[in-house]
Amino acid sequence: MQALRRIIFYVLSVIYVAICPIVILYSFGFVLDPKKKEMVQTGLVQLKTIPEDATVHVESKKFAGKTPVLIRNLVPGDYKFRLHLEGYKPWERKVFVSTGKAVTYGNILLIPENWTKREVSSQIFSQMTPISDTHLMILARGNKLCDYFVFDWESDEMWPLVNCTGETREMNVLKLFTAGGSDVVVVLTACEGKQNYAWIRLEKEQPEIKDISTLFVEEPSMIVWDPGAPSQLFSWQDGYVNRLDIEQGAVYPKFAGDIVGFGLYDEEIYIIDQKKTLRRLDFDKKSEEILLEDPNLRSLLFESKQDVQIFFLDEKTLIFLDSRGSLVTNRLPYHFVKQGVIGWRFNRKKQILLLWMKGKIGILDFSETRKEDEGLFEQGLRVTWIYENGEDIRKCFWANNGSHVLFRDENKVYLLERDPYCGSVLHFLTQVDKGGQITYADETGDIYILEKPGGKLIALKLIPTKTAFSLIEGDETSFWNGTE
Amino acid sequence: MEFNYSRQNLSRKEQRLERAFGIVPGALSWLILLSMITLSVSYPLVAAVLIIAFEIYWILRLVYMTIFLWLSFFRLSLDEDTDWMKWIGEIDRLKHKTPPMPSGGENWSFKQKIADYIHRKQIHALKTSNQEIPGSENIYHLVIIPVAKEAYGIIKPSIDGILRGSYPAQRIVVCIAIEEWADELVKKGVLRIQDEFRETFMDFHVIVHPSGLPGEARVKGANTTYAAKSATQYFRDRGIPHENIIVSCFDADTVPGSDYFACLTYYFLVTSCRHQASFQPIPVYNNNIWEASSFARVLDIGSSFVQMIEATDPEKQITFSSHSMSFKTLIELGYWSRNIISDDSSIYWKAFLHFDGHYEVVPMYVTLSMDVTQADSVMKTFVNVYKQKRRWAWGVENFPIVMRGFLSARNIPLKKKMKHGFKLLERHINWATWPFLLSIVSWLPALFGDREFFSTTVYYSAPQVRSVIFQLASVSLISCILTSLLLLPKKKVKHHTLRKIRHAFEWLLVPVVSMALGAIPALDAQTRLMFGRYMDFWVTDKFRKM
Repeated sequence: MQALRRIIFYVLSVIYVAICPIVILYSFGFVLDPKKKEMVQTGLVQLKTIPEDATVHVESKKFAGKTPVLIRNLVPGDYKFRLHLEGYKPWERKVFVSTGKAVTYGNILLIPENWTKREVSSQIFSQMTPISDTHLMILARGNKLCDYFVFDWESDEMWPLVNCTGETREMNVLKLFTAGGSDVVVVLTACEGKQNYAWIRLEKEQPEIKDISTLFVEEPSMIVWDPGAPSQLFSWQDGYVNRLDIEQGAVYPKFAGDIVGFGLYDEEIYIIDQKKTLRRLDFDKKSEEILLEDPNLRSLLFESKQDVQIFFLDEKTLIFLDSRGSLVTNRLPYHFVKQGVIGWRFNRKKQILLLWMKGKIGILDFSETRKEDEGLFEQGLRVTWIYENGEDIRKCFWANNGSHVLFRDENKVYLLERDPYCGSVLHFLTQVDKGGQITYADETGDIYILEKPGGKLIALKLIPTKTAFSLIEGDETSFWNGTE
Repeated sequence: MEFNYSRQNLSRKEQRLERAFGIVPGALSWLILLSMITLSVSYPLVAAVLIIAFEIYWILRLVYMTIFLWLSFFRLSLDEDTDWMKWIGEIDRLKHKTPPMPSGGENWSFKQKIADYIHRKQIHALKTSNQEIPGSENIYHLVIIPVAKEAYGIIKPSIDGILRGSYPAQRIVVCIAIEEWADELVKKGVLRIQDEFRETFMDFHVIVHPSGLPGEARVKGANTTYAAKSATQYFRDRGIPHENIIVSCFDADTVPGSDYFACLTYYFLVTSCRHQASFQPIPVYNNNIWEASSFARVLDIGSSFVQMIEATDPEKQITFSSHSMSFKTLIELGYWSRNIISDDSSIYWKAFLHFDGHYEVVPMYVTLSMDVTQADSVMKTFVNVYKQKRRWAWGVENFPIVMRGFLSARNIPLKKKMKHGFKLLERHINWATWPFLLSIVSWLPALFGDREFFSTTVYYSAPQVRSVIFQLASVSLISCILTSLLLLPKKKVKHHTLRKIRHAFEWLLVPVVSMALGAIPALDAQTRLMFGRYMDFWVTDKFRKM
């Protein structure tokens, strides 16, 4: 037995000494080139598509597997990949493979050749107002309050905004105020020459409605509230803010006066006063904290700024957007866009801000760390313009969990694929009518289009449902200051 | 070599050495784990490569162990039908120089022929050794059973097992060593057994071990040593030479196979250096195998496998749990350690050092059945199993003592010291680290890697390599399942086939069980030793449905 033991031990030791380096070299991509009869270090390409099972062609040769696929042992160089799935447009890319490196396309979204349109509702609508960071949108088929409906795209249900009885039948909607992440809306209506403000919680069975008209002494240019405290409204007009306590039925006029900027986060108020001081206050004004004292920095950030909206992307990242569309953040180098920003969306999971102007779309990656080749002076973050050929970009959305950007430019809807290796690739999706509106829900992978004329609300499936549910990991916050 | 195999009464220099060596196993285990975790975070590429190298080593080691598990099982099956008394008779004929009986193997099966061949080789080796052969008529057995908390229902089957064998009970002295602090109910149970079996054996003693004797810790070895000393006088009074006595130290739940004493006698006689050898059977845990919890069952069968594999390497095997040895040797060594928890392994090392490395373990391919640790609830069972495995892992306490012994042992060749020292250390390190490395650490580079790592081919290759390795490992798992099914008690129980099928699937618990009840208790024990927090002996609760 001892002799046998020794033999087996030595055999296995030899096997280990032989196999281990081979496997490690293989892991690094080394293979034996049969032509050159020497070891060459190769690279690999990973391709994952949504939906899966696309056939793969590499340099016109069909690859054995279907997506998701890992193609190994590629000698360094350029390769042309073509993916095809029946019913979808082919996806092509020229990829450079380098030694020991992996090229990963983990989120290839195949675009249907023909869209399957799903009519969401048989009713005709004239206006669609999605409430960002929720799965709700308000649809209007007329001007009356009774013409307004709530649509939940997650459950695919629709219900009237209010129960149409008595007085509400005659109310005309003048303005609709929404807040991202909140299931509450404030509606300014008019009836028989009298204006009313209604606070409405969007519930299917018994929507909670409160008449808050008495709390408004003047017409605000903006009403904002924190989604976590929807009963505390702030109306902003003429450089001051009133606080409206819905529960108490109380109004605190000039709660914050002489301000140039205002924002809410986590049930606290942030203001920029005339001296450009950034302060934080609680709702009761019992605690106040100055967040930025340095006069030079204050001046640098907020000089000549008016009507600045303050947004928190997360507890450490703020952005300041003024009426001219200039974008400032609390991260170096602070100023990112001088003017023209229409809207933004933030992908919290990946910490990337999507922003757009009329003619271009950019991204600001807050997860970036300092680059080694940056030089002596830190340059900070930079906006990367991923698309600069826009004519009239109105709305942008993160799609496929941040790997794509869906946007509308004039009357066309495009999908911009963020290719980490060769820039962005543009795909045309569909056309909308001139007055039509679009919105997109990444959680379900549906593009919603309100047709005009026609008024039908239809849905186009961009991402198959099965895969879309696996994308629920990401969450977003957003702002859009445009019209459609 | 005279060596104080103890942590007590050491000189300052020896105390320092004891502490220094005591730190080594725990420090190495933690170093391996923490450095791999740190590498996974800081240098994931390096960590991934090391993990690949480790996984290849692990699978080859698994192949190695599987081969020897099969060989051991085959060897065990060879001796299933052996007529040990007949072979003992052949040794007696050798002693008396009478001609051997004809082998008569015309109708033998293949296994019987191999078993006979091995036997002939052993006889031949004994003959050529020119060592004196005592003759079976002069051999006696002393069975010491330490009892602390075990009830009558646990101990009686052990006594029945001793009685059931082919070896004459009149040549066996049974000694129940009971702790003074044991429950009255336990004491009554023991006395009841004594009454029942007094006339059956050569003698049946109940020795009460007083508590708090100087120089003793509350360990099993103190109890068995006290009983052995009493037995020493007993045999001296009857004029029975100690070199003709084989002492077996059983746990209270140990049920020897019917051939155990005959097999033991055979091996004692056929081993030329019988007074420099321990005799180690294969422990199985069949007493309550079907009542035990799944995780406990799988774990203890795994322990049996380890012992079966160890049995194929007697050069490096050490004693474990219930085993036997020459009583003369035991006396010469000063009996079991009275202040060391792991008395089963420490007696081996004590002997190894005493005889300057000329001490071996003779594997016996016969089984001793014990209880799987069980309690009246799953949670309590889990806790009990954890404590038991930690106590087993506390065998690492031998490492510093053995190392000190090696430093003093001038007559043991350096190569032998290094071989044994390395195996002792490696066994404990592997126990504490492998499950972590395989189950958790191997995934860390992918979790903590940065973009640079994710863009390398290694990031994609490592899972592929791991997948192939684990598929190969499944072959070993299947062989473990098959072997465990073959080792299960032959006696059929209710829903026998369904139980066997369920048991086969229980092996899928191995990754979790090996970590929770293998690696963690081992790391716990090593860490305690590292910080000098020496453990107290914990008596495993025995729980059996009657």
